[in-house]
Amino acid sequence: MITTKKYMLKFTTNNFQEPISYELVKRFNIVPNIMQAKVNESGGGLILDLRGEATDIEDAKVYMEGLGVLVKELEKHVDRDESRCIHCGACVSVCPAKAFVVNRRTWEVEFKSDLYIACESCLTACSPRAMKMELW
Amino acid sequence: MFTAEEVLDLVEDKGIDAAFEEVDVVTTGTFGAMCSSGAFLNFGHSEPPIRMAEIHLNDVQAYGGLAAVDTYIGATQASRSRPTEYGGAHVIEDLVAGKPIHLEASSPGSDCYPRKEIDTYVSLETVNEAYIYNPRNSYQNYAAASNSSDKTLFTYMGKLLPKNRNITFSSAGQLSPLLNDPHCRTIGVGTHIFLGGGEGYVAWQGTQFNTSPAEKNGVPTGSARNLALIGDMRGMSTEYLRALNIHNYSISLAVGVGIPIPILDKEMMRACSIRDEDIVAPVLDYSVGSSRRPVLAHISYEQFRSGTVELEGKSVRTSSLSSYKKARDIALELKKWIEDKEFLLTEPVRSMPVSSKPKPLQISTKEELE
Repeated sequence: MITTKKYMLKFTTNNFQEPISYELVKRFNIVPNIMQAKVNESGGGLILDLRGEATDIEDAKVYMEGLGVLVKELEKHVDRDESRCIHCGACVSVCPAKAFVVNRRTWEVEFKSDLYIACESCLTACSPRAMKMELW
Repeated sequence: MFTAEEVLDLVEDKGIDAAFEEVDVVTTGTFGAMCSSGAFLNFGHSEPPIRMAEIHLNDVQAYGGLAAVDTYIGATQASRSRPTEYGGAHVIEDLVAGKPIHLEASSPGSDCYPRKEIDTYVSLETVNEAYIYNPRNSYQNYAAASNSSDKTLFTYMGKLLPKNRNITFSSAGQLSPLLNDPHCRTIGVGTHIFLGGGEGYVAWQGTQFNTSPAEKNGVPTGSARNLALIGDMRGMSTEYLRALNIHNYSISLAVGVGIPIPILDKEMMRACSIRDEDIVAPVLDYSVGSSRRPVLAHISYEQFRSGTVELEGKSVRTSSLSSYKKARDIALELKKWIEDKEFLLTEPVRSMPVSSKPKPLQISTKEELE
């Protein structure tokens, strides 16, 4: 079954030169879609979508973890605190991925976590502090 | 009984005259950041008593210039230890939530008030009076914001992306109290209102009350009238009184206000049938750090609320900063209170000013003003 999941990969200085995305494509038949990449003195990280057979994604995780890469599924690190959200819509126009959609019947702001790209733009737009994220 | 939104279909179906025969009251609502807000508290006297001169509530300074144990806590006052995280609005929200609040106060001491320091906890239950008094709330229309500069700006109108890549606006539009009674024919001092989930009253005209903005379709096209509001914190709810952290600007308080409008005559029926498409606001360029910002366009709330508008030939995404959903909830809640006979309408005891225009602050010498 083909699925798409968001992951954060954390690299150390020992493994950050590994051509991970090439191997994902070549060996595991996965389509990686990189949304964020950074390199710093302690290594670096990637935020990306992995699309492929669920079993291939699992195998790829084993491969990456074997290299010492920390593999975290992202959805659990991105959350909207529903008790804080006032459904104003401040997040809507600052989100490049259009992950916030106003329902024009209920006027609630719906958060589409599948569209989310972890750019964190909403964090500084959300004055009731409903958007919570712990990434890097 | 109709909300200002529900009544639109009725007026469209039957016209103003027939709708007037059917409608007694239209309820309105708004829920957004209203920085000019705060609360009066009276702590009661300790033994031995203290005249509190320096007061902190959860590390947020409250006013110490009133009588011994009275204070006013302003919504935007930042805490000493976490100035961007916690402030007066959070103290107000925490009080309404029933949470214990750390009270620290000091005093030089006097013969009648010998105590010099106090460190204790208070809550909404332990204090004597606790009432919201907001000098400027429920603006009648408000200018929208954009940013033509090359960098992102953080303003009281929210996060403004560079090169006019977004527009923010803040009004309940067709649901907003003062847009449904644009010349304050029924709203005046003493009007009984929904405030923060509880009951309140219109206390006075709001500060910077402005009758001068140009009108279109019978309503002002910019920030015009507003109200000073008062209400008992007991009975209020954090659903309708919510602390905000406006990034790189200030702490603020989102306040829910609902005002019932009696449909006295056909003119009031017409006023309450105002639609988002008829209400226009200017879009101001916030990259200009002046109180006289250039107007980029005039755009209707129907367009703002559609999610994208045309600005200088480009399609620009919009964000509402006030909650239309909560505005609707407030109008519905107030309608239910009135239907259940839990809430009575009052006649104002004093009208709002017919003509008023705020003055700018001139930098003057003492001699110039003598």
